[in-house]
Amino acid sequence: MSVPKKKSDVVQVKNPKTGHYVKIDRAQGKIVAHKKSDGPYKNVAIARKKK
Amino acid sequence: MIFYNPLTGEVDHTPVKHRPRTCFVLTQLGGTKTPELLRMCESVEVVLASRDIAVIDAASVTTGKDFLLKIWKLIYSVPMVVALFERYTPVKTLHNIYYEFGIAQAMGKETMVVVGENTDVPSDLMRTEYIPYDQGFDKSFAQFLHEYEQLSGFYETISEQLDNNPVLAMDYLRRSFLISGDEAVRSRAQAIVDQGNFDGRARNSVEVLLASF
Repeated sequence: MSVPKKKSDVVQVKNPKTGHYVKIDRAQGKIVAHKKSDGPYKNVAIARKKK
Repeated sequence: MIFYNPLTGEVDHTPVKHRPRTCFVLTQLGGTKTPELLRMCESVEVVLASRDIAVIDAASVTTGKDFLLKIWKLIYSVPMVVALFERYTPVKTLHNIYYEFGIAQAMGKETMVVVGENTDVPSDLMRTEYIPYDQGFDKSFAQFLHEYEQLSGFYETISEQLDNNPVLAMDYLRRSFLISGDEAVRSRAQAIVDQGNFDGRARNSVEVLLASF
């Protein structure tokens, strides 16, 4: 039986101003971390803009 | 966003008319402008016009009311503020530019400083990237605008992740709308109000005002 995918509570988005990813905690409803180095956080889903 | 009236210190509940795709320019308005400043103003306007971004300054709007309050509301109404000055800009004008530039950054506006040749930049603004007015200006400014326009999608994406924080989600949508002018973003803010069951809230409550851009 397939288990429905749970929407990640923590996602990341790249800030075009800084070029770095930010981590968003959806449950807390806020940005919780700013990555200092290049590239995305490991094991954190990248959120894309909904169409 | 809670907007504090600079004259009374009280929260201002008056809706502000938003001006999407508009740049508020801080520069010398009165007196004689140097040829360099005139060229700087013209170059900024040309590059902005090529991206369909309107330009306003403090003289563009007449309210018949307090001048400082007018400046605050104009800054609040736009997505972007650009400061222009050069070495002959009068000191009094510079003080006003720095003050208004600070307000813009505190309000979360996208900002850019454009400086003429051999012009000192105050240390607080050194931390902000600035563009020198030289032969590469048009290219550098266009690059800044390209990155600025990407922010609209970024703000929208963040707002989509903030189901648990509807007021902040609406604020991100407001910022996105100011940059893009996309009417669909307005509808999304209204949808948050509708889903949030804000019925019965005052028409000038923070959440209803926020969604009224």
